[in-house]
Amino acid sequence: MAMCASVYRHLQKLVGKEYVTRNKEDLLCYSYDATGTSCLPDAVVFPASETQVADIMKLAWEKRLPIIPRGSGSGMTGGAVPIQGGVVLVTTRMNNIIAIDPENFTATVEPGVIVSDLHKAVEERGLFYPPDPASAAICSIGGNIGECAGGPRAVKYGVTREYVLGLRAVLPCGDIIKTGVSTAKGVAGYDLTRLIVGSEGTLALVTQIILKLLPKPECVSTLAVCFDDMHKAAKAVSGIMRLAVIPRCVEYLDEASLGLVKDHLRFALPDQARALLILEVDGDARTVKTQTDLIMDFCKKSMALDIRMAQDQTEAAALWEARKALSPILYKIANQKINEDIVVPISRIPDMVARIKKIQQASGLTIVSFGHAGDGNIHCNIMYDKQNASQAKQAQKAVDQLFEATLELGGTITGEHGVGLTKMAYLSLEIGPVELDLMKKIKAVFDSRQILNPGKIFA
Amino acid sequence: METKEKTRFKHLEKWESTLSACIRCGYCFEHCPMFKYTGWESDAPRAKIITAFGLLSGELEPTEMAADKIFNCFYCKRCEAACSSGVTLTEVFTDAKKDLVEMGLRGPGTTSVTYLNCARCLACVKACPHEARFHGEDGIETDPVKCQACGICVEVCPAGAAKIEHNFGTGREDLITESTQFLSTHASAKAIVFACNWSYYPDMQASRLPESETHDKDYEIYVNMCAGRLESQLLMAPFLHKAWGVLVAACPEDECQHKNGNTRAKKLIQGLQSTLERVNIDPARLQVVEIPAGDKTLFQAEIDTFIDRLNAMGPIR
Repeated sequence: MAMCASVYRHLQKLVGKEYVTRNKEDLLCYSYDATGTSCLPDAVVFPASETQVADIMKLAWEKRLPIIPRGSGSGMTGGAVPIQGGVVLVTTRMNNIIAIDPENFTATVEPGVIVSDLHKAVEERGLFYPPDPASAAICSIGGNIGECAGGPRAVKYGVTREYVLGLRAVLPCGDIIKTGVSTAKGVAGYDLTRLIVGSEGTLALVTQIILKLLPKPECVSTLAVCFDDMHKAAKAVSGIMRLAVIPRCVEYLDEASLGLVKDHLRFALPDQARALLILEVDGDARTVKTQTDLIMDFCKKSMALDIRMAQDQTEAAALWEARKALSPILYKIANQKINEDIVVPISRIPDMVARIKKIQQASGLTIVSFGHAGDGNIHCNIMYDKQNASQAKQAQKAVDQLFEATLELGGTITGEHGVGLTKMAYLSLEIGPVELDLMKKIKAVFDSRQILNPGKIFA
Repeated sequence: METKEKTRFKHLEKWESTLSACIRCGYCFEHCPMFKYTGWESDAPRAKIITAFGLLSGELEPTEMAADKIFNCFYCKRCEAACSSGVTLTEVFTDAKKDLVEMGLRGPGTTSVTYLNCARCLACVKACPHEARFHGEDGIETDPVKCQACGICVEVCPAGAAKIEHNFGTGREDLITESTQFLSTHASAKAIVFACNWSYYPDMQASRLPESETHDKDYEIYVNMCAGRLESQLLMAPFLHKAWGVLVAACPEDECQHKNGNTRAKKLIQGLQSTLERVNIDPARLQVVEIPAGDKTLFQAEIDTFIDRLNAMGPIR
């Protein structure tokens, strides 16, 4: 479906000629996200304000033109891929941190603000915005709202939705709405804010976000703990949580992950190391010291091979860099990965680890798992060769088994990546027909013409 | 991936598997000064790989626009350092450029060009660290494949005839305008800091802070792709607008991406320091410091020391 010339001219009039394009050269660059899926849009538009977003939306509503919101295109499930063509609406120009209010612990931002920029800006004022997805250095806060991004610190601090107090957004028909509050509490009416956060850009286009901030923790200590067995590591995680110590992150890396990142680490791993935990404790100096000691003691009792505390920020940063490099580096194993971000209750992590091992053995493929063990969120990467038909089939089978096991253990099929395109086929495994129907009806209330990010979530 | 039976991209062809090894994660964005300047994905390293992939697979026609995108690169190679898939992006771009040039597409993108007022003095030919400038049939020409857009020719040309058309905010005029504006709108302003893209790691990637957060800044950092491209006019301009001092960050000895950009900068600054002395301005108000790639802590420490020194000296009277 090509866009007719008059609609394109109308778009040009709305945002200015230099902020809309339909050159094939540009369209190709906006046709994909980090899943590698690609589908050409008909045009790309860069609005600078809420008014412009609303005008574009009104035009799209009238012409029944799909609009696909896009931040940095770093999503993991195809959320920003224009699967039905239409206009990709890029938020990079809406990149103002409008206000940081240290008295009320809030920040008001536009959707194009880069998450790590927000981190820096608030931390400079002694404040703290906890959600920290691995792609924080490039991803936009708008995208984080769309997918309800998480990250390692979710163990203690929760995910994006916990920090969104209120929103301004444009509905598919072009109306501007304001949801939520700018106060710590608020229960007037249905919680539209929470409905929009994590809706993968299918309900409304967010134009302004009021975020809750915390005081910046005085101290952080970072620990790296090695085990000779994944099962021991998994058991240690639930054990630590039972000590009533809630670290702000508990990341784990399995044997395959360690093989990939060991060169990035600044210390040599013991030969028998089969699993690594990265733990972080924050708070005031005394609490951090007590809790770090408790964790170190517990790890010793849990037969850890090696316990190491980062001596300074640089050492801690190096540890995290190795962890953050992991997702992209996986392609060294095979040219294709199916990346699932399953979550199970914390106490069931050891069971899940055992099930993954079984699935791996049965499939004959490499499955790399790592992730946010502290909240039960395991990034499971099934690696295969896309040119090899039997491997591809095995990989699909492994995914089915993985989800089956996850749901059996009381978990969910996606913790933070969203459904998008890649998990669409599996949604009905977790969500019942009545609930699915309800969700589709909610979508229809917001967007009866199915123009905002169409073809996502629901098969 | 299916390629056309006979691709016209003879040089690009060998990168076929590399191009599909790029997993489109986008982690290179934060390192690309071009992307940060325009905010357009099509200027980001990831997009250039997509473009090269599109050209090779035949999905994209080799148009002037596609060529221009590939020719837009300062060769700072920060994207390569950040790429976890180990894609040597600039080598891919260079090979794509070779093919495009053979098809008659020469950018220019960030390639330096020569204006008609060129006096053929050969200063740029001698100075070019990449042996990209030569005396050809039509006077001084640039080999668009060899040129890495360091801008050293722009700096040495006495006639102002060597130019980089697409400078993504790193050209002299842009930097003078920006730094002058900072100095004239901030009563607290004291120093201007120029840094090459290797020494400098910006705090804000692509977001803007509210005015209330920035109104009392005492310095501002501007990226100049290579210290070797710093021109005296640019370095002296802040002094005309009440700056207390100017700090330049360059790569350490032997670490310059453009061979000798750092030593050129040092020599230039030495000369300018004596000029300052002659007009009774403390030469310590113009300094160059060596910063290894990405050493943010050292860079910040050097800035703090410089500001302390300026505070001790006070404004220029």
